[in-house]
Amino acid sequence: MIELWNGLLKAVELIVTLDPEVMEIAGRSLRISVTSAILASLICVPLASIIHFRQFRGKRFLINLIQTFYSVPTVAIGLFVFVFISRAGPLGWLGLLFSPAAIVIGQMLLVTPILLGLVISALRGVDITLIDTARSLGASSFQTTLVVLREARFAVMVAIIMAFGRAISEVGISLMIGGNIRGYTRVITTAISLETSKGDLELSIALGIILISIALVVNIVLNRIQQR
Amino acid sequence: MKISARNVIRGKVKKVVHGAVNSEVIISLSGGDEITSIITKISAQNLGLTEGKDVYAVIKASNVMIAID
Amino acid sequence: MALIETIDMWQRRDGRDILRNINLRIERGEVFALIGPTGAGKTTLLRLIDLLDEPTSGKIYFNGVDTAESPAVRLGVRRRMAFVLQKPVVFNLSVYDNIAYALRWRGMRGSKLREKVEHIIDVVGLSDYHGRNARNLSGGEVQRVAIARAIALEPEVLLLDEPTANLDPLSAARIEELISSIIRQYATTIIMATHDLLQGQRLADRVGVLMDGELLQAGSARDVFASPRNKEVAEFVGVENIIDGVITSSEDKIVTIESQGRSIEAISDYLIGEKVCACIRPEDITLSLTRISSSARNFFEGEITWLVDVGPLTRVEIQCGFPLVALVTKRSAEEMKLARGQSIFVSFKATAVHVTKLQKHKIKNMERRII
Repeated sequence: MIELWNGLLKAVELIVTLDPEVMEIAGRSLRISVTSAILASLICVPLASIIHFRQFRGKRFLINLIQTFYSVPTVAIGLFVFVFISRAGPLGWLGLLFSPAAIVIGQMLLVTPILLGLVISALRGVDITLIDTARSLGASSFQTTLVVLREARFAVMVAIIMAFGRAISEVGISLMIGGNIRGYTRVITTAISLETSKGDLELSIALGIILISIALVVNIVLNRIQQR
Repeated sequence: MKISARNVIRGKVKKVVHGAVNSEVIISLSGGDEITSIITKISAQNLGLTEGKDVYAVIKASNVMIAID
Repeated sequence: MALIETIDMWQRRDGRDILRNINLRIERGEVFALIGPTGAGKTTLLRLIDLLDEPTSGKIYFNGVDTAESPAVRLGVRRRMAFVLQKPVVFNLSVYDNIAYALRWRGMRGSKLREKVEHIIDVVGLSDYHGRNARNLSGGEVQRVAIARAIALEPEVLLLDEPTANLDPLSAARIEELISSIIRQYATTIIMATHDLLQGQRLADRVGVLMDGELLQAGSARDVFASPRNKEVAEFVGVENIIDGVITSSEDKIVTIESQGRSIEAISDYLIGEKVCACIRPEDITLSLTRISSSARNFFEGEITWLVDVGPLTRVEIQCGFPLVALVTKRSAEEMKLARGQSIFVSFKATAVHVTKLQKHKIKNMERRII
């Protein structure tokens, strides 16, 4: 108990004094996960619009499949990406294994189902008369899509932030294909798991507090958006 | 004659012109003005409308238009 | 050439005919009101005209161009029209952006856009609401934004679906005022749907009666009111005296209609044996206390069942084999001491009777009727 208490005090000290190592790890974590969330959004928002507005065979099945993958285990994605980018894998020549880029790719895959699913339901939430209104005012089908996306902008933002939250809190992918290399691919979650197993609780707790703070901020932002 | 029509105007038949279905009856009033009425030919015959006969022109108030110069 | 012409247009949904054989011509600059009860198919017809939906069969020509040609043609034509939906929704944006949106789609930018939007906001009287989110406006204000959004596009055709149906009486009156000022100022072709036939009469040059998916009659409001094509139309336009009967004799266009043991004389082309109804305007019925000999072909004895004053007039309901409503001046009613239960004589001229078909006008599939 004393040990935990001391660890907590030390951890607060690390944060307050802006300890270079803590800040470096937290900064990298944020950079990687923000990048993953943004890149995934750039792909998923248009893709979700296409799925939503187009009528095609197997649409329901596809949406069900997407929802099934909401809770895909991170280690499964880690394994999947590992197989592709390991030296012997089909994309091995890119030399991506154990790089921040590899983590970004893994996290993008991880958040794709959530993003697609949430954006599709955001678009579904838009009043159908709005589409008629846009068309009746002379919008082309592309312009109509933009109208609907703009109308659903808060819900779409929620989806992106949820995706970011999922990305920054995962550990399996960062560990398996990032490799937890100090000063290169070490992120908050991998650092916590390593330092804890080494018995260095201070750093773990400090990073834990930061991670929880990020989660808190994300939540506050989400609530703010959803209230609009 | 107790009738709801507000305008019951006395006059004399000046002229009757029979058409195929309707008859045009021109009634001259004491002041020299004329009123023209279109009624069915049968009615004109039934009422025995001939020149000089005393008649009333009956016009409902809601059917009177008013104009000014 | 008509600006808009629909030819043999049908719309079927879920095995039901929503619209049947619509042949409608709208001339440029005309204000046309589609009147009919709720569910008659007015919205469906407006949506087809705005090319939001495609008809099951039939053609729509815009300025002589077949609109089924290609999606590009449809978009091009749709951009020359603007449609204010029945329950308009506004974009979750400011009033300004709501109006500017569709102008931007057409490539308008900068000061030209700004001036245009400001002007329109002024026209519809929303200057104080400029930056306000349109979602927070009242029903009447939302309707104004919707109309502003539409007229900002300077459409060749403005389509309005029940523009005042969901508003309180005061807002409705203001919107109607706005519409009539648009009619005066812009001389746009307007097609509006309304279940309120008086509104149609007030605003439109021509009305079309749409009932149960069929365009039963079109013409000036006066014509439709004075000579409804069949009983349904007569009832819808509020003709008060509609008496069902059968023609039993016809001589030189003067027909006798038998109803409830009484005969009504009228002028009509219908033939012996046809089931018809006689429509008589209450203003054309004269009452008397005694039997009078007059030129009026129709003279019946009856009993007063109800009396009520309406402004300077008195509405008298009479049972004379069939029920009749007469309108007389209040002064006459007083002088004649009219009272309930009193026996009375009614008379009306044969020419005051409008004879119309009792049965619904059935349109044969192949028959082409352009209204």
